[in-house]
Amino acid sequence: MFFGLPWTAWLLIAIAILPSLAIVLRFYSLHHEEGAWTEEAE
Amino acid sequence: MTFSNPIILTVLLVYLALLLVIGVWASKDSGDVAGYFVAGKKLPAWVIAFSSNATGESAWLLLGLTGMGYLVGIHAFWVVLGEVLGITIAWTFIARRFKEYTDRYDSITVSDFFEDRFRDRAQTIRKVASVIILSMVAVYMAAQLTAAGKAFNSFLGLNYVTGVLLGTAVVLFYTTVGGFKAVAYSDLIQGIMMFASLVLLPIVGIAAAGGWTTMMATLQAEDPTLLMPMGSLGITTAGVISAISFGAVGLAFLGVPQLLVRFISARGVDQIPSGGLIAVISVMIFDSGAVLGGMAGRALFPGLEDSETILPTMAHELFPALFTGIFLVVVLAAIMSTADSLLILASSAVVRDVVQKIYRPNTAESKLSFYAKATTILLGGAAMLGALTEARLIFWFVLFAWSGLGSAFVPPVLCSLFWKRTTREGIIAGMIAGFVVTVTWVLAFKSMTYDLYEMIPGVGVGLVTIIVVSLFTQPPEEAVVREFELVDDELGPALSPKKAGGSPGATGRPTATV
Repeated sequence: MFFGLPWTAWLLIAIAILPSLAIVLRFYSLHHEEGAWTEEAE
Repeated sequence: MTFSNPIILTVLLVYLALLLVIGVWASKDSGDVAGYFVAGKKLPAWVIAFSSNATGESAWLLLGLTGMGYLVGIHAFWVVLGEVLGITIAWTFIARRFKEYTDRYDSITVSDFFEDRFRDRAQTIRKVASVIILSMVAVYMAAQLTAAGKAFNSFLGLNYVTGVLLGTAVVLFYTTVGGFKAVAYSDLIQGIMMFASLVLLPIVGIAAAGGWTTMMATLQAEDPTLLMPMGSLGITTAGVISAISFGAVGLAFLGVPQLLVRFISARGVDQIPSGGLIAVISVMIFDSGAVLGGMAGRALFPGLEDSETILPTMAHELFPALFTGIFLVVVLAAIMSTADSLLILASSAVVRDVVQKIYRPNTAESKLSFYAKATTILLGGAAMLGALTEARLIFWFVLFAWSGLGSAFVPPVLCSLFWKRTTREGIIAGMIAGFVVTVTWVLAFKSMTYDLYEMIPGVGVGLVTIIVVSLFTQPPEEAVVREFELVDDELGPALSPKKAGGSPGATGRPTATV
């Protein structure tokens, strides 16, 4: 048990979140273009 | 809680008034087909990200997933895994390619994309897709309006029929007047409210249950399987199928049309990376918050007869009246943000795919826009009648429609974006096969296979059908293959740096007409 939860439960929570977070951060760092957040619509 | 509670009523009226204002504000851009159906393709990343999440996550998230956390505990994190992974794959691998193609073709609907991608001069894909969209949206929409009636009833004590009528009237007004722009911006506000509530709910719930470790100890004492990833079924065939079925809910994010149209409406391909980041992080919080909130609810209020009432119970018991009103609004927001998108999708299937592209290509834009609004009202009215008369099993219908659309569209979307040997005949066969298998599975096989979720066989059979039929039919024409290679070359891989110096002319567009 770790913080009241079995380690297998923590493993499931980690698998649910960490790989996707790593993928989307990698994707963002490779393809994000400067100004994309702030550029106004025509 | 009764209808006479002035604080709850005030919060509700402010929210409904805000939606009507958004409808009027967006109305200037809804006068032509592209404006009405995809907001003129001018939407920024944060709007499409929240809009796609709010559309994908209906009342099922707030009532169904919290109920699942209450009922099965940590086992519900398999749903979180499936949804988060589905949305991640959709934004990182599918969105850029799909947006690139739809900009080349100047597509407004998913059917436009398929027709141009496969040079489908007979328009068969468009016809099949329209039938599937209309049948599934009717079911989905009726379920959402049913949920609206139930929400008004359980939070305010308002008569069910009045609740359905009120919910329908508000959604129809802002959708018809403001078109996709109103839908997307109302989704943004609705998505932010859902986000804030699903952060607040577990924090307040866990604190009320005595803190994290006390809450877990309470759950452990009540039922130790609530803390086990495989739940009460353990590592058995039924347990594994249950976990896979939970995870498979996320498959539909790879290709249901109401989400793909968000990518079409983006201002450009450059909006996809930031949109993806917002969408993935927010869905992690949406889903984890719902499951943990439900678990806190189990520790606080064990023995509820209907686990899907845990959110209204917590809103009523743990929060002051102002927040109870806000939670009602959030449930309505989840319902309306899905219902409005379905209405726009279905009316685009009628007006754009059938009237403009098949029967009357020369109809004036202003006339088409009028048809679109009239169709939206008719479809909304029909769904409302369904909600008033049909059996009121909300989430069964939602999951059925979700899997019907997913099984019909996910295999064609994946193959058309990633396999250049895909043929028009393969797409038609795969779309029909995926849809038919889903419906047949629910009716005949589901109960025999430990309730294996129908989207798994639906998507599997759809993919195999496309591959087999494509291999046995004439390869796509040379221009189609060349176009596939150009797009591939221009975009490069999703997760590794693009090689320097793509093919000259790779950015040329548009390339296809039918």
